[in-house]
Amino acid sequence: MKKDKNRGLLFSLLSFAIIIAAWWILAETKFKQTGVIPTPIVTLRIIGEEIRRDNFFKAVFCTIERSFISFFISFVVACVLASLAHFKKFIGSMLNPFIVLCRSMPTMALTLILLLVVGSNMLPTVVAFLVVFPVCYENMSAAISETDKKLIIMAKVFKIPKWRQITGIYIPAMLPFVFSSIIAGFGLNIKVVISAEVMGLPSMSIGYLILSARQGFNYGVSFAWLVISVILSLICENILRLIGRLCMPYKYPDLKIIKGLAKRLFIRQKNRSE
Amino acid sequence: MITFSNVNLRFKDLVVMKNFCEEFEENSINCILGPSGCGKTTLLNLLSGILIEDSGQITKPKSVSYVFQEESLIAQKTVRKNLELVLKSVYKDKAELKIIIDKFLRLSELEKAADLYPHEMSGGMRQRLALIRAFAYPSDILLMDEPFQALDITLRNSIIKSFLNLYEEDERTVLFVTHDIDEALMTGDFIHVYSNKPLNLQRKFAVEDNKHERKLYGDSLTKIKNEIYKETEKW
Repeated sequence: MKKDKNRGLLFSLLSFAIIIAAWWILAETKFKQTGVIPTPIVTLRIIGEEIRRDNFFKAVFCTIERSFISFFISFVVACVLASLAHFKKFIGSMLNPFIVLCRSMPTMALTLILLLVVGSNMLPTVVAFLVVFPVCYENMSAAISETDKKLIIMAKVFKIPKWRQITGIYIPAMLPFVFSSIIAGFGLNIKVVISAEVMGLPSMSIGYLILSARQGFNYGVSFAWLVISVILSLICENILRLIGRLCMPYKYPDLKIIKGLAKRLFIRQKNRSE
Repeated sequence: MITFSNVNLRFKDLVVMKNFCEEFEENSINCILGPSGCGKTTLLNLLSGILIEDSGQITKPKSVSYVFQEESLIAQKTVRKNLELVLKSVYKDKAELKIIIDKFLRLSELEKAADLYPHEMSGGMRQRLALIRAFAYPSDILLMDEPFQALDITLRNSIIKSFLNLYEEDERTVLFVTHDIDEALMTGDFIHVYSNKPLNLQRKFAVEDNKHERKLYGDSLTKIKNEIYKETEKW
C-alpha cells in the first residue's frame, strides 16, 4: 500500500516536472519574442513583485470572497432543492428544465447579458452561481439516491425518527459524494468567477488585474496572475480536501490525530477564556 | 399469539399467499423452513410493516426488531454509534443508554470492538452486532432472516450460542427464517415447514429438548431431522 502511494507520488512529481519543462521550452522558443509566456524563473520574479504591491492581497481576498459566497449559495441551494426533489418527485420534475437551461447556456454569452442586468460587482457571483449550481444539484441528487435502501428500511423497522435518519444515515452516506462535489465545484467556481471578473471588471479583483496588465502589454504579469490563480485554487482545494477527510474518520483513520489535537486545542482555549 | 388469517398477497401475476393461515407461539423461537422463493422473507416483511397484505388479517406486533440477511450496518459509524442510532429514540436518558449498550456489548463479547467501524470487523463480529442491535431494541417480536447464512460452520455455531445466551436474558417471540435444518434444530422451539408458492404450512414440529443441551446426533433431533427431510422431498 505504502509502496503504491510512493509510486503515485513519484509519477505525480514526474508529470509536474514534464509540465515545467514544456513551459520552459515554450517560453524560451515560441514565445521568446512576444513574452506572452515568460519562463518559470521570470514568472516567479513577477509574482514576487506583484505580492509586494499594495492591492495584491486585497484583490486576492475579494476574488476568494466572491468565490466562497457564490459557491456557498450554489451549494446550499443545491442541497435543499436536491433533498426536496428526492422526497417530492414533482419538485424534481419542475426543476429539471431550469437545470438543463443553466447547464447548456454558453458562459460568455450569459456573462455579457448579465453584465447589463446585475452590474459589474455582482456579475462574478451571479454567473458562478448559474454555472456551479447545476453541477452541485446533480451531484447532490446522485448522492441522495445512492444511499443504501436497505438502511432506510432498517431505519423504518426500528422507527428511527426522520431527522435522525437524515443526520445518521443520509448525511454520512452522502459525505464522500458531497466532498468530491465541493472540490470539483469549487475549482470550477474560481475559474468562472475570475472569467466573469475579466468581463465585468470589479475594481478589486484578480480578473481586473489580469485584464489591466494585458491592456498595458504586460503579458508577463497577466501570465503570472494566471499562475497565482492556479496556486490559489490548489490551496483552497487542498484545504477543502483536508476538511472532507477530517469529516470521514472511518475512511481516513490516520487523520484522527489531527482531529484529536484540534479538539484538545479548542478545549484548552475555551478553558483559558473561561 | 401472532396469527395470519386468510391472508392474500400477490406481486403482479405472482401469487405469494392465498388464504394463508398460520399461528406462531409467543415467547418461543419459531423457525421457518421452506424452498427458496416460497415467501418466507415476505412473511417477515408483512409482520414488520415493510409490506402490506392485499387482504386478510394479521395480528401485527406493536414493535419489531429485525436481523436482516445483510447486516444493514452504517459503515460510517462505530459499533457503539450504530447501536446508539437505533436505541436513542427508545432510551432518552444518556446514562441509561450507555448502560444498555455496555451490557449488550459485554454479552456478545464485543466490548473491545466498541470503537471499531464495521469494515474493521470480521463477518462474524458484524453479524453479532446486528444481532445485539435487534436484542437491545425492546420489541414484541424479533424477526431473523437467514442472518447466519454467509458464515462458516464454526462461526455460525459460536453466533448461535451468543443468540441463545441473549435469548435467555430476554425471552420474546422470535421468527427465524433459515435454510439450514441443523440451525433450526439447534435453536427452535417450533419448526414450521412450508410448501412452495403460494405459501402454505406443510408441517409443524415441536422440539422439546433444552436448547443448551441439544446434540444434533441425539436420538430425538435425528428423528425430527429425518422427518423434515421427508417433508423437503415434497418441494
